[in-house]
Amino acid sequence: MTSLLDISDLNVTFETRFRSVSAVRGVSLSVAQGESVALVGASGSGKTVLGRSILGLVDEPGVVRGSIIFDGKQIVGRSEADFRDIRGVGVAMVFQDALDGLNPVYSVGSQLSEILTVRLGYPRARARERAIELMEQVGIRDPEGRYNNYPHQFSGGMRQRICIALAVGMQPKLLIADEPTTALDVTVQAGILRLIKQLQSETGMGLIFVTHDLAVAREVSDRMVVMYNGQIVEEGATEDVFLRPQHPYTKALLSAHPARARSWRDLEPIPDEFVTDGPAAGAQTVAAPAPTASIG
Amino acid sequence: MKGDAIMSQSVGQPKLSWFQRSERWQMFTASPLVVTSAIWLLFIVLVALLAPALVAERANLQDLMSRFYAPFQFGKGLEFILGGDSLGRPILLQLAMGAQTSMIIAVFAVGISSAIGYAIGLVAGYFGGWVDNALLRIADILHTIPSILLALVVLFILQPSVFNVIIVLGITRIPVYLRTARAQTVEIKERTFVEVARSMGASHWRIITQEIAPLVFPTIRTLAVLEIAMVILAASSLTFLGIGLQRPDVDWGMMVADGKTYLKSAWFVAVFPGVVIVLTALSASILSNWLRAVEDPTQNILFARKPKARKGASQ
Amino acid sequence: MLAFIRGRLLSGLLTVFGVVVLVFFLARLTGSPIDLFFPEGATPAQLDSFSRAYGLDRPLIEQFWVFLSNAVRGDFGMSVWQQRPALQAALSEMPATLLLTLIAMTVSVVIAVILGTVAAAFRFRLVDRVITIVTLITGSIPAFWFALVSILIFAIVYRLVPTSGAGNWQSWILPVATVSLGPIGVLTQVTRGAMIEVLSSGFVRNARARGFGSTRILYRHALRNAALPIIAVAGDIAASMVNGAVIVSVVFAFPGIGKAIIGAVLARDFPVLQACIVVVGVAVILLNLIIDLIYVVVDPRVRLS
Repeated sequence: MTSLLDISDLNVTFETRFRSVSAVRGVSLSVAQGESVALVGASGSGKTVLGRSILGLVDEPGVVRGSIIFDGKQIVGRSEADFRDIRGVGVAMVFQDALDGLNPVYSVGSQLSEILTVRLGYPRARARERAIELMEQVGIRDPEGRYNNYPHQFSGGMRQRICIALAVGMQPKLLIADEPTTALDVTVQAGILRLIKQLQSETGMGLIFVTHDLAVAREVSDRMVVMYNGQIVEEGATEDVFLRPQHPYTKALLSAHPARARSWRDLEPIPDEFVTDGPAAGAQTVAAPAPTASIG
Repeated sequence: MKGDAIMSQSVGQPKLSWFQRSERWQMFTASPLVVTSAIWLLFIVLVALLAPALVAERANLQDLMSRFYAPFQFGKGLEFILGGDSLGRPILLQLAMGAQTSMIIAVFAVGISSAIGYAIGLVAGYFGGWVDNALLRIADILHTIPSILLALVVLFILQPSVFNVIIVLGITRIPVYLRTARAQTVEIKERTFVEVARSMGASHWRIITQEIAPLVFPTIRTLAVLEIAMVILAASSLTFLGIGLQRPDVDWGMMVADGKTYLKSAWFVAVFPGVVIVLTALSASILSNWLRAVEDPTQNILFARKPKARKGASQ
Repeated sequence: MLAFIRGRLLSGLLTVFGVVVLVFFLARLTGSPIDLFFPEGATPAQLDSFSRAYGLDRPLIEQFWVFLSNAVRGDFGMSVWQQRPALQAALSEMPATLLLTLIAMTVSVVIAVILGTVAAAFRFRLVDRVITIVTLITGSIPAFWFALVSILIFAIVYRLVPTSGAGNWQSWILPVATVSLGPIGVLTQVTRGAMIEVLSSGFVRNARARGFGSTRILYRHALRNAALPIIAVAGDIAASMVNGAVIVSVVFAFPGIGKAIIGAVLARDFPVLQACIVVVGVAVILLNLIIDLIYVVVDPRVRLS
């Protein structure tokens, strides 16, 4: 399997007048075609910034250094125009906030069609047809009737489905899902996860699923990457990481999960040295990630 | 203070004096614009306080020989540096006298309207219900009628005087404060700490004065500074139109009106008072802008510094 | 949506009612309203007989009822100076003011949207600061002084436009500029704020993530959302534009409600003054209603709830 995405020694720092903050530090990661990787970590671990840097969405005062090779081409340092070529059609992203993620003044159907007409050059009528197909594909009932509805007329779960439709509508080679289910009810969550997995198997695209929820990661991915404080602390096949975690942070993360505890005393909070924010804290040497799975 | 927290993170630095540590003071002195505005306003206030005592007689001295005396000449002494008006009075001194009138009107009108609007807004926002609706309705009505029109009519009915101008402006500008205070109160009263206070048995009065009012105050204060500019403009518009004040009370707007008919021959009679109005209103606006920037750094347009790129980031 | 319109209409009517009540009580501020209706120098006996003729010795409630029923029929008494009904005197000057306000509003909105968008797009950079300072300055210039100075420069020194009147289209330039001065400043700041907020919202970020170009994002995605607060503020400004029209009337000898008002003040023609307040009040309310409707059309969230 060819490597779709190759990240090598990526560093992202936010440099302000008073100090600079490192969000991503020396991260190297590869994703193959058709592979689904879970990017797991707590808030502040850098996982979201990592996702955004692949799309070139890291704005001032952030600075991206290192190498990201997507589909054979280097991304870091490219111009905004170059990024536009990759965005959507090469790499697509689904975000956490579905209501804020949809333009409230345009109908859902027109937003879907817009992608097709502007980015893929479809004629109007064909775009409308395809938009309705897409809505059906993501599980919106009565897509034809709801084509002219506005975002606020849909429930949270359905809005997220529409966002997913908007993302896969351009048939990207890689989909990055940044905590798409975090803001949703648990009951709705399962449906969205199923949908994403289904779409992935149908289209064969690569998937990077960013989450802080281990259960979700387990369900969705083949491979799991654990991030802490801007660095990758562990990486491996999902099941392997769950059953035989190597890094202390991973172990702490897993044991903090309520489902694994038999009594509340078993729940160990992740110790302070793992949790503090800030550049200099937690400066322990990071154990080299144990390569337990072959890449590609 | 935020500035302190950030500064103190750099360990091993020499001890900084108060004003080096205070971000507010830094922002103040860092901007020549704000410092200039503050100085100008202080200057005007000083003039307003001292002028009448010192120069009243000379200011009102009508001297036909000095009629339309051109400005920027030194022939008749410093007081005629800005020229003489239609009755030969020195414009510079007239401006000084006008400063007092303008300042009195501005300070009292803003004081009255802000205090009343603040209080009513708090009460209306907190209690809601029909009282709130009625008050909003009244504010709406006051807002619908253009202020000049309303002021015109009221001053038509009552006699022109400084006191009446203050009353009219004080009342017509209440809605601005009322709306702001009310909106903020409504938002704050939903917050948890208010609920906590209620559950501990705090009375309405206590909650309003101790918990909510202090939070609303900064916004009102910033608004009031801005309103000083607005009131100066409004008052001068009224006096320009000829209602509101009569001689010997003099005010900048009235001076502009005096010069209106002599635009071609003696432009300075109308122009200089206007310049003073603009400078004073602008100073108040800039200060208000600065106050807002201090309260909420995201609003900081004029005084923000672009972050400099830092070298030596991790490679 | 129909319910919304009905609601706004009702609200508007209520406000009109409030204005009428206000006018009624304004006249009685000094306790002796009859003084307002007659030029000074009338003898007490004359005042007295007219008082009774006007029914001013009747109980307040009755007076109010009479006033109200007359007002509804458009009867605000006869102008003291002109030989016609007060309402007519007021209405005859409205068209010029309405036209002036409409033109000024359009000009203000167009310029403000352009400036505000530029300021938002180049946030915190030099352009933004310059625009902000300029809006601060224009907000501090009194309209009447601006009018005079612009006459000085453009009419007297450079003779580009006439000094007064409304003879040709050039004579409208300075009046429109004067009325637009304040609103442009306010609207630019509002546009800037609204655009900044919209540009940092989720769907704009998503649009970028989907590879849309900045022009498209700005115009199709962002502006339509930013328009909402702009429209709302434009409604607020409607009343203050009439203020500007009054000033303009005086300085430029321009036709309009200002002329009627100032004339009434000078001639002590109180019935006309009363009529003017009500007419202007109604006009502002109507203008606000129209703007509310525009708002509803632009924002589907309001339309469909």
